[in-house]
Amino acid sequence: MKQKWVSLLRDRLVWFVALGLGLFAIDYASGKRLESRILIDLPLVEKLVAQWEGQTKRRPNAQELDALVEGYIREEILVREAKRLGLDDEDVIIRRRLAQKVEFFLDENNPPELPDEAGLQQWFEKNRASYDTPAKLTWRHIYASDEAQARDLLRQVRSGQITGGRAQDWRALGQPFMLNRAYTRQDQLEMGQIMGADFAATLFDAKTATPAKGWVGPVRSAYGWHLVAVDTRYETQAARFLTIADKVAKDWANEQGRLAKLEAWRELRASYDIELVPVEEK
Amino acid sequence: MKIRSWLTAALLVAPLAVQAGPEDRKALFGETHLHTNLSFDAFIFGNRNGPDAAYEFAKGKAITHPSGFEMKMRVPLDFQAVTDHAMYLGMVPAMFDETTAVSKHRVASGLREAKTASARRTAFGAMMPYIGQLVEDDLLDMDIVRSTWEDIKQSANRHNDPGKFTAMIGYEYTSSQDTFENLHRNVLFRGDAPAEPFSRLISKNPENLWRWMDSVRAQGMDSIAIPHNSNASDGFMFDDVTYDGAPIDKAYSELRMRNEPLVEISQVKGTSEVHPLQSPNDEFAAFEIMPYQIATWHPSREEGSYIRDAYKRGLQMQARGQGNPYKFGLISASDTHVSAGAFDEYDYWSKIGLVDANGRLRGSVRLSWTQRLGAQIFRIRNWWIQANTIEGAQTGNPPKNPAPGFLQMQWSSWGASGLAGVWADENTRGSIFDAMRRKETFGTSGPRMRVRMFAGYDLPAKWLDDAQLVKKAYQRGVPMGADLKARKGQSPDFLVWATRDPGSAPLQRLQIVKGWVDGEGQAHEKIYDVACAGGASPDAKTNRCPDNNSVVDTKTCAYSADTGADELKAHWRDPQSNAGENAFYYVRGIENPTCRWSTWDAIRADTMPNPTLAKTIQERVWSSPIWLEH
Repeated sequence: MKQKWVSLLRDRLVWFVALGLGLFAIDYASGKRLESRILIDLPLVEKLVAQWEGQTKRRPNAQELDALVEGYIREEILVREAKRLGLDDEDVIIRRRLAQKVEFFLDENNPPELPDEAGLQQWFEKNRASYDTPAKLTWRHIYASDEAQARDLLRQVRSGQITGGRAQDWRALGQPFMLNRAYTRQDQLEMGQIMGADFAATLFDAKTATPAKGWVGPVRSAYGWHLVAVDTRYETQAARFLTIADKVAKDWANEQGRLAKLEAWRELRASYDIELVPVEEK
Repeated sequence: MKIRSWLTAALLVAPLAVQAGPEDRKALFGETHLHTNLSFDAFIFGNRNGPDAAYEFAKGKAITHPSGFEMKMRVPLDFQAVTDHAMYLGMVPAMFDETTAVSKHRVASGLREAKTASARRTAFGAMMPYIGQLVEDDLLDMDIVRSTWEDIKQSANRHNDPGKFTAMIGYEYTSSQDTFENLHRNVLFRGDAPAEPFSRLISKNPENLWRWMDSVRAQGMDSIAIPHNSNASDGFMFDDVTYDGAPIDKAYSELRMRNEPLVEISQVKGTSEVHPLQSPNDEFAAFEIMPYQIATWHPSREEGSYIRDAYKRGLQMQARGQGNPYKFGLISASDTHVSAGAFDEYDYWSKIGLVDANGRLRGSVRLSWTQRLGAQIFRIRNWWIQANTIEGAQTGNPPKNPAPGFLQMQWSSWGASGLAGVWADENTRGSIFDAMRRKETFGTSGPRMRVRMFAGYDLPAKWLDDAQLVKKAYQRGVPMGADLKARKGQSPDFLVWATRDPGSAPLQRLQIVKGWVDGEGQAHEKIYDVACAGGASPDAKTNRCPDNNSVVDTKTCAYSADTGADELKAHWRDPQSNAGENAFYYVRGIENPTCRWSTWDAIRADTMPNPTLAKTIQERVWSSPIWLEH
């Protein structure tokens, strides 16, 4: 029995645990002293050295190492003092940093499991407008200063007074125009920005202008009246899911992430009462 | 059958395969003056959008203003150059990065902690002694400047998409005389640029910038410099003497014109065309006048600060055998500091981020009484700063506030301007740069008006209705920006032509502004209305169009839709062209009146507009001149 005790006493581990308990007890008894203790251990020193190396590309000498450690001690003490005085509370930079960190948490939603192909395709169909290539026109126009002149010109081109054979002829007709007289592969938005939205809507309406119809009009733009010939009509090209499945999957994940963040934020905000104090205008 | 379809195909392709001549030049719209977060001041103003975001914005994408709202263009641009301040390029972002050495600099913490608009103004002030080289400079880290410049060049190269969108490489050379008399210019490169921009920290004398540009050109990198805000130069931009006060000679004139073919006529910080005191007979001269020197309350002297005056001075110097250093074309740009230009009055966000983000800060919306109290305290504090600090002495104090219910700020006199227009062969760096060199350019106060002018002899009026007008005019005449050699005993003909912006008000009138120097060396000017809305003719005595009765309701901003022109054209022969008198002629196209941004601000805030600010504005376009040379 006694021998067992002795062997226990001889065991270093036991001594170590006892010593630890003792230290803990002392620290516990004087909490204040724990607070005023700054621990400089190997991992910390290695971290300081690594930072130094990052900036200077060499290892510090003994003197510099001392300065590094002393610098750390200084910073640590000042930080603790600042906290004790409550200075961290009103500091803009600290507040911004803290807020940033929580923003990152909001961002870090677990990526949701991708839906199966059918599910993804369904989502794609719902959003296909943003994947389709819009309809485009290659077109030319003759500009007239008023509607009557435009109608007159239309009669001329239709009655064959202007020969269709020489491609240059149409350029010599009507009034000079400040912008282009021919545009290639233009979508409705682009055309609307240049000529006015109504003009673009009229031309993109397949009933008005097609290559088969030749010169049509007059059509009103933001600048006046035009005869228009659509040379080529490129219909809306439906995006094919299979060829862009990867992109759709990425967009889907981004969208889910955005929604999850929005939801998390809504929840967070809902847990606070925001009180607005009205300011009286004089 | 087969043959017929071949023929059809050939017919369809033929119109597209026409050989391009100058008549096929297109008016491209762009931005030649824009600051991103890499400019020291823009970063302080809260801008966190880099060059990539600026180019995305130009292409039509929405980006975020420092105060959180979205900024988006009504119509995307054709080209853009990011032009950050070369001095301290990228330094302020580096000061915010706490791992850098400069983040320990004594101005750094003040910059980092500035949160309110007034703290940001103070932080900006703390940088000023360094910019002004008034204190010893221990702030500069050229490695940061060079690597930031490299980033800017790479961003432009990434976004440059020949034929669709042109991204040019550029920067701002932000020089001044000793007390902030503005001598700023933007340097734009035709293609690639050298490893380091020439900044004011190397020399404040623009002549040294031009010599540097000459030397870089000799290495195959062509560039031009575009001065701006001559209105704020206190008379130094278009001075009678050189930077050092020496007389201007032919060599100076040639050096300047080789490097500075264009000048910004209009931008957010006011219009530099003409001051009403200089041209009392120009009823349209009092337009968006910004009367201060940049970042100060010091008034800027009119003489030598405005473009029409400079054109006249140039002709006078030429007559005295000094050459003409002021034979430049015109362009406009925004000078935004939030990576996104505000070109529309009804969608205006000014330019200095959090400092002028809303109507109250811009002086367009009435303050509450608590805000008025704050403004008073700020005013008193300002007096103190002025009396006791270097930066205070630099900035000076505002005059007595004429509208005490509103904040009094320099930026109340700023505006939603301006847009650059070039007549380029194609949308590429080379074509756009070459158009700038030819001065075949125009500037607008924001809207997308287009303007063309040709001058020559025997240009018949009937060409105005000829679909081949442009082709013929190029063959027999010269386009804007060019010289017309005088022909003995004959007056020159002009063909002028402008179209409206479909998204803005219609046009009211088209004018030719002429300036000339007589045999005694005296300079003169005269303004002719040459085309009027509604087909009216200008009065033969006054040379003015009759009033077209266009009105704006300043409570709703609705304007007359039934008066005004979509397009104005005119043939004009100078009635007063005397032998031996050199002259310049430029076009000014003026819109019907619309609401100014400050009125829109007040309507949205449901308050009365600031009574000291103009309620309406007549947007306009200016062409580069044509010079008549004997």
